Amino acid sequence: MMTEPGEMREYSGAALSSFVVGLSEHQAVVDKLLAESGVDRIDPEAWYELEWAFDLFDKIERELGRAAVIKVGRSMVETAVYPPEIDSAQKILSSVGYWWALNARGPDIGTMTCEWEDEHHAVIECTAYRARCTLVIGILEGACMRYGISPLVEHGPGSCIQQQTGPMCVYRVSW
Amino acid sequence: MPLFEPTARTELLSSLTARLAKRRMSAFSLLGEDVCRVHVEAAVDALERDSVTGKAEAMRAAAVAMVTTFLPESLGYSDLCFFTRLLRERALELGREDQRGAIEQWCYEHLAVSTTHFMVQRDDALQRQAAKRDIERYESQLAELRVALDEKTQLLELIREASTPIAPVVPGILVVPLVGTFDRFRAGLLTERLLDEIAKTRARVAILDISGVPVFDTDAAQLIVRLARSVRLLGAQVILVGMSPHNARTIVELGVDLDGIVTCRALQDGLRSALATQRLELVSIA
Ligand SMILES: [Zn+2]
Repeated sequence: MMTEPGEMREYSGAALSSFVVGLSEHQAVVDKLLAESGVDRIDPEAWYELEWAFDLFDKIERELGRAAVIKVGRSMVETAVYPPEIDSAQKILSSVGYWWALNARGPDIGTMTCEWEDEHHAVIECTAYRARCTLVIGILEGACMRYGISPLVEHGPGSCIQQQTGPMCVYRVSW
Repeated sequence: MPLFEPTARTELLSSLTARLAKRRMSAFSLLGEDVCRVHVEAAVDALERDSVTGKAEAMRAAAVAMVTTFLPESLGYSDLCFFTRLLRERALELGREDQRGAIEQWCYEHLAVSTTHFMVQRDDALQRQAAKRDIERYESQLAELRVALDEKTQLLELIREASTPIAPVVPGILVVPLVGTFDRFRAGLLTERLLDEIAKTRARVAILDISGVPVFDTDAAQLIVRLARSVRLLGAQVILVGMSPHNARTIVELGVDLDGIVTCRALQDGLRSALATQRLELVSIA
């Protein structure tokens, strides 16, 4: 499943391994799913086929449910190392596009953008390739929680990548 | 003096409508510009009327109507904030200078009312969902019970069939071999079927073979007596066969009155006796 740089869509082993670490309380299930996918451990230095990585996310969501995936999203951001200049919920949400660009590479991987309606209302537009709202909602919540804020994250109606009803997901984060 | 000059008012309405309708992937854009315009006008109208009375009264109806209209299209809390924030910004900009405080206060209350109504409706939807889940659960329990009941009914039917075979051995004579415990339940089933069968076949004699009943006690005897009386009412008679010596002793000891029911030792004797009443006889073919 590890890949060489090139024309493929890839997902970073670092992000994937933080996802797996976030699921440590379901270790047995994760090990089983990883083994089924033909891998026994995630190498944080490597890059993995994006399709493969997201198939794994989907399997995990089917097996453990939405709530577990949201929780993983939260813990991924809470434990991630960020540069010191990122010191507020506003800054971390604004940098969500970099987060995606750091973790995925290849043609047409899409983007995540953040716009502010005012200082407590952010609109995140996501066209990230095969974005999984469950995980993204968790990530957006975790980004705020890192700075002691419990936000309300609402998914806009009308289009959703995961539900396959449109090419983008819009999230509105309020607190 | 009006809160907004006519040109400012037109500008307010059209800019708010356009901004709402353009809000990407929201209840506003989903319902479209015309619906947005109706609610923008209602809000601006209410703001103007309330600025005359000094009370935020007209606002309530407008806010509630707005939430009610957009909620089915997944209106979110952030949409409410957006609506009021936009209205506040533009109204402060385009309204009368001396009314700024009143506009601020009105918008504050507008958001409070629309949020409250939003919460109420959402709570309601959650309750309905929970109720629906309850109903679904009851329905599935009911379905399970129905399946169980069907299985039970089939089982009972099977027991009925298996436990009380009624064989018309000769025209006019039925043989009923009883096997197993003879209790009130089985007596009820047997009576029903036997009376049916007697009526259908115009039988004159029903031979009850109790050799397969392990304990023939007072209760069982009384049930047989009652059964025999019912049979007699149809103009037929009961012959009891297969009484074991042990059961016979019990019946004597308990002083049970068999009410004139003919008893024979073995099925053959019973048959012979029954044939006699039919003016027929049993002939050995060996
Ligand atoms: Zn989505």
